[in-house]
Amino acid sequence: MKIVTKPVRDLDYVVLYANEMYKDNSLFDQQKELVESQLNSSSLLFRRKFGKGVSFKKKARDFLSKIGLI
Amino acid sequence: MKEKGYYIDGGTIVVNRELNKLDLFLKDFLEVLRGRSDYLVVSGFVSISTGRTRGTEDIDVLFPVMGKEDFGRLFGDLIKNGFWCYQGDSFEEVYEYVENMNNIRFARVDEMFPNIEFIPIDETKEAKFFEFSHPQKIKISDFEFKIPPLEFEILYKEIVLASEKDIADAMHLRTFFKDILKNEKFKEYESIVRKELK
Repeated sequence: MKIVTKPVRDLDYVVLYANEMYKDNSLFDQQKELVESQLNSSSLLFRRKFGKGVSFKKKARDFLSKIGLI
Repeated sequence: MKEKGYYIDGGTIVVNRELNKLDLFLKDFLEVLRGRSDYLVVSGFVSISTGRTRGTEDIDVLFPVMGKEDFGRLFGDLIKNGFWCYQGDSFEEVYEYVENMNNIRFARVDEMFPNIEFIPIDETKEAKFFEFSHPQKIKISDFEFKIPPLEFEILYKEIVLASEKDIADAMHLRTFFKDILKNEKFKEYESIVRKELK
């Protein structure tokens, strides 16, 4: 990846990445890794926290209620 | 050899990448929904599906508010197909949210995230109803779905949502799609988007 102007703010990196992605779709492989890594971690965390089946739903709803999402 | 991130095929934006787990979650949800209702995928997923590299917990989907019986059939289909609803296990209790135009959420059984934030709309929600009525087709691999016009989505994020995350999402869209965005559409949509602030 050739960087012409040094990014300074977070938004500069957003622009840089979008420009490079426009030119080179292989960068989507990195994005896929990031997106799936977050989903896998989240899934593992909540399975450990809430279990499965009826127990999962009950504990999940208690949690959601506490954080004000339902 | 490098390939571009997207191309246009007969009015459809084709994003040049493989599906990921987040796409597959939405694809499964929309396969159930399509038999029962129209829809529009909006907000963060529009940016993420086109390359914005950040995590997300939910995917926002607009749907036209429906009657209790229709909602009951859709709810039953979603449950049969492995989803659960945060707000309740019976369609009667969940329908109270829908008829009051409150959002509800569905996730896969035994999962919290990602979830679909399912947002009822009608003609009184002018900006949302406008984007719903002017869909843009987008395709990733074999998965085709509907999003708002890009210019509308960008303005909505910049003017209405306007958090740091939304400004970055809008900047991503402005940059990635710079070749196809149209100034006249920004001008046309701005007054409609601003109605959402009132």
